[in-house]
Amino acid sequence: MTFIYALIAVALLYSAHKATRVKGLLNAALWLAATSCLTAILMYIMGSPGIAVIELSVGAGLVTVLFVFAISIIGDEKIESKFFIPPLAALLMATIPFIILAFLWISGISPVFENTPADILANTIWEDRKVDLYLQAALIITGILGIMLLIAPSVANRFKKEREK
Amino acid sequence: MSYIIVICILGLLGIGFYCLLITRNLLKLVVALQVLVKGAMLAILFAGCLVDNMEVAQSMALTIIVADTIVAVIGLAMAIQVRQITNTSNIRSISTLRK
Repeated sequence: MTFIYALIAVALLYSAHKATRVKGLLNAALWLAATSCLTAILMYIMGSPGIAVIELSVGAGLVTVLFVFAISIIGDEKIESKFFIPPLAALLMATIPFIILAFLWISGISPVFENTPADILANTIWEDRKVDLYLQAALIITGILGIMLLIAPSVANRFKKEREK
Repeated sequence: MSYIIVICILGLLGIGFYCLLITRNLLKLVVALQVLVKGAMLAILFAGCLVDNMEVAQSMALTIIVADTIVAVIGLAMAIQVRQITNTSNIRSISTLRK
């Protein structure tokens, strides 16, 4: 069983790496969807099937559709210019804190992964953490307004230009 | 098993952070943020397992998923607008918008 978990972990890290380093934006979006799928599998293994389903539908479904929509509007562009930070320095900056964290963590902690009963989770979400729900509602309204205000004029302008051509 | 989860968390955080530092494309920035947040989300669930308080960790993960999606939506919309106005997706072009 550990071999399967290790295989999932390797696939997850490989797909995340490809999502960030692959050249085409469409390929990056597809690799990101694969990363979401594998993250959802890990969440299921960790005893969070509800969150895994939401991650699968939102992360691998909705976000991928949004990416493809955005790429279809603005197209794929290869930017060739100097980096802000040299890649080696960025690699060091990204690696060193996590190596320190890993050393701090290796102290024999071994949690038990168990499924949370649905009624306890529902009670926590709907009773104990109502503020989170209000925040989520506000975020969703913000997202809808963001799409309406930002994307709609661009699409309209694009249609106008195409009609003029 | 827990070592594998920790390696995944650290790997996702590292890959996302590294890509955030070196990338110049606005859409790639959103991809890097998504990878980074997935690592953070796994870390919160793992912390919930460690302290045996999974229900709170799951409700926080749910909030993170919603917030992450909205960040992606706003980021993509911004990328579209910047590309329409400046004809490039380079993040340096954002500083030229006020001119």
